[in-house]
Amino acid sequence: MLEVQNLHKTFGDLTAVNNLSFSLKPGDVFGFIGPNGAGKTTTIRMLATLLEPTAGNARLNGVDILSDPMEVRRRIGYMPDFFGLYDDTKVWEYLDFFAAAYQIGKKQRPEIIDSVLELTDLTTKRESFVQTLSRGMQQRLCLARCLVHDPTLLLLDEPASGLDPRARAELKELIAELGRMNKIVIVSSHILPELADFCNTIGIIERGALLAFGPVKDIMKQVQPTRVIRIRVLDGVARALELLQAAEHVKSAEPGEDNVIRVQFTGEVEHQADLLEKMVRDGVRVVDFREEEIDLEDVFLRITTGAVH
Amino acid sequence: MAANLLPWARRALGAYFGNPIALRDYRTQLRGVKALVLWGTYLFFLILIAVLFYLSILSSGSQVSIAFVQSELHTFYQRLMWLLGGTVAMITPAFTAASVVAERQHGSFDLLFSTPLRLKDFLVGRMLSSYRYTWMLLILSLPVTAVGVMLGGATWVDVIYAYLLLSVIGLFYSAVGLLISTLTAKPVSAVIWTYAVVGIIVLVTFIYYQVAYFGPAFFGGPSITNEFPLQGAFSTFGVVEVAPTHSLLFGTEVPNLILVCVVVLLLVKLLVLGAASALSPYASPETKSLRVHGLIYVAAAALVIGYGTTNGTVGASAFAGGFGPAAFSPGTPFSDIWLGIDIMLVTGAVLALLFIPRITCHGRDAERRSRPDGIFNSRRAFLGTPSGALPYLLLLVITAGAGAAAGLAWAARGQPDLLPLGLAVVATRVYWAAGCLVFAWSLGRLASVWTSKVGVARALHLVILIGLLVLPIPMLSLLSVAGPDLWNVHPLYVHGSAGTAPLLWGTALLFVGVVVAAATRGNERSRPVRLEERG
Repeated sequence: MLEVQNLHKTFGDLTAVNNLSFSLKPGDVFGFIGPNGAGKTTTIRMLATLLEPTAGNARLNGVDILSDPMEVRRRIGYMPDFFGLYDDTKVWEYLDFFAAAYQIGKKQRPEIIDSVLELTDLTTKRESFVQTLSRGMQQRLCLARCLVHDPTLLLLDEPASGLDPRARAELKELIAELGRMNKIVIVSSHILPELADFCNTIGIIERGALLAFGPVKDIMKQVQPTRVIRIRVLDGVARALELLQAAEHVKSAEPGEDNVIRVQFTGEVEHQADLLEKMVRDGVRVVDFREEEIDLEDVFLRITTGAVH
Repeated sequence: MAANLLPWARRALGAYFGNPIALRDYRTQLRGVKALVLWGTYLFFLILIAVLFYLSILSSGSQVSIAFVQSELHTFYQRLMWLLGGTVAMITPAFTAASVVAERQHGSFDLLFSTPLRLKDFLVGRMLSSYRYTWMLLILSLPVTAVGVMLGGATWVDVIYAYLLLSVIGLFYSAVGLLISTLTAKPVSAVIWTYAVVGIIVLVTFIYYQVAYFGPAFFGGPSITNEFPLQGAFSTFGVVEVAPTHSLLFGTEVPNLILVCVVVLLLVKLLVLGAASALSPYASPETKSLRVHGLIYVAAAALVIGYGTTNGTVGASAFAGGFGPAAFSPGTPFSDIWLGIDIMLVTGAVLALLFIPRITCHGRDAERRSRPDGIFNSRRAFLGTPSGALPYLLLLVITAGAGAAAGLAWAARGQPDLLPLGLAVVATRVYWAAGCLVFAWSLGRLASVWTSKVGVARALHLVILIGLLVLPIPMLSLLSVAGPDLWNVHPLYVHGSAGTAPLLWGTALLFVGVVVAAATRGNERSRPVRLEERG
């Protein structure tokens, strides 16, 4: 369990993080969204004990980041947005070095290295030099490094930046798998549609303040309390509009191009089914009837103002 | 208690044995053909130069006696060790100079320090990795040195002693490189600064060594015995001569080999703590530890000096019964040779002067540790913030005074007349030194008012301090060997002055310092911060 309480960080006159509070439980994959300079990296660095908060605190399974940073470090895996790999080092040596840094015994290390290489699909690269790996592989290697000590919390700062679509898809699958392994994963990213695929919780931060936090669906509902149903009819748009305006739970119905009607609907899915049934029964020839889903990008744009420090 | 000691000992030893950084570097250091070619080339040149030395000695004459041959073979061995000394001085600092700054540029700091790896583990690992090269330099040279032994120029015991001295001095150079590596932003500047500082150290230690070795003969004093002043024992070029010698410490003969090892290891610890403090935020345990160590070292040095001032004159520079052969003792014609302990103190004062701007100036810096937080806060003396600078400097002076007084009292037992005089000198010196430091500190505040950037303020402060030290009157006072007078209290000239001059100068400097500091109050260029007190 990660509990963040009133985390605050100022750099001179600048408030980078403003009283951030949230909590996450095992299995949560938390998408941390915000424009550049919003305070995502500062928050992650404070959770990684690399930066001391000006005020507030965070606890990971009861261990305090301020009073016991070393114990917190044993329980977290941190992947920064930019990281250097050591040249002339083989993949297994790189992992062995970090396993030693995490004080894992010499005898246990080979087995652990093999298992994290398998998890990150790098087994065939065990003896390769790190500088010869592709960018995607290097990202996976860094993720493997974060996993050698079986952490409770993973802090991934822009893990998909600079990756091609295939590498991104592989990384996405890997992060989802980590969530299934009951780890708490915090991922910051600019590539919002991808976050929606594997995050079950999101937080939107702007100018250091958390504007929204919670399960993805709840936040979407907050942003858009009414559902938008897109109905396309073969003909008889006027008749369809008449029916819709008289129907229950319909807030508004607006005709568009190509016989499409956009309906602001306040009901649930059962009511949608009733509406469709009624339209068909009343002779409206419905070609397409579906709810328009807003994506994370819409949510982000609606919540944030675009202001930066 | 034993239960607590075991994990502590395991962690302490863990920094040296099984250090992850050292292990990682060990795997990569000697990898590939490049390393083989590098070391092969080194060995080739070493052998080539040794052969040239040998040939030059062979060609020195045809009429030879056994004594002449022995002397020539010893010269051959001596030249080999000079070569090694030069190699250690040239190559060792380069390995650590870029080690930390390169890691920072590489962007791997966050990866490292998000693990339970301690700062100490990191720095010690870096030192061990670099120091391994020093040992490789020495080990690879063993076949060449062995020739010197086989030819009869030296014994294996001489070789072991000389190698030990070389390796310990090499460790010191590595530590200097490590500290500079943490203080600089770019590898190139780290290397340049390291070579500049190590170059000065090599030069100064060489001068000490030369004066200690040739001084007595040059001034017509007694010939060199196995007694050799410690201050001359730190040169990489003097290991052959220094290895079999000893110093007199509190009247006891102590081998210089042991003294050099102890002094160097203590200095290395101070330098590594300095590096750790430079990498850590304010109020870190490393900063506190560095400052506590500084106090302990100053107290120990003052104790030795205080003890040494009793045997005859009460000048701070006379180390009677302390370090050095009889030729340097009061009572002999050479007790006033200032190129001895005095120059050591001057060097120490210059080094200390370099660090005053570091701890005094305030302004904007990347780590946000040096923002102005007030003028004087005694509770922050060990935290590393600007308001704790003056309290710490004054604490240093008081500690030095206490140490010197304790040393005096110890050595003056049985000589009741000497103690009051000695304590009076210590008291006036402490007052004068406090005045000097307050003045130097106030200039740092002045420099910080002129610019908002702490780096610029530090550079400006240093320039002002150096400028003041080389002004004509202080310089004349520094060069003066006349008796005590008003001008004979140059901050770096501690010899001989007594009477009211230190009191007058101390009061004047104190007054100016307080006035300058008061004038700077409220004129800080960057916004003052309120720092929460931390344990």
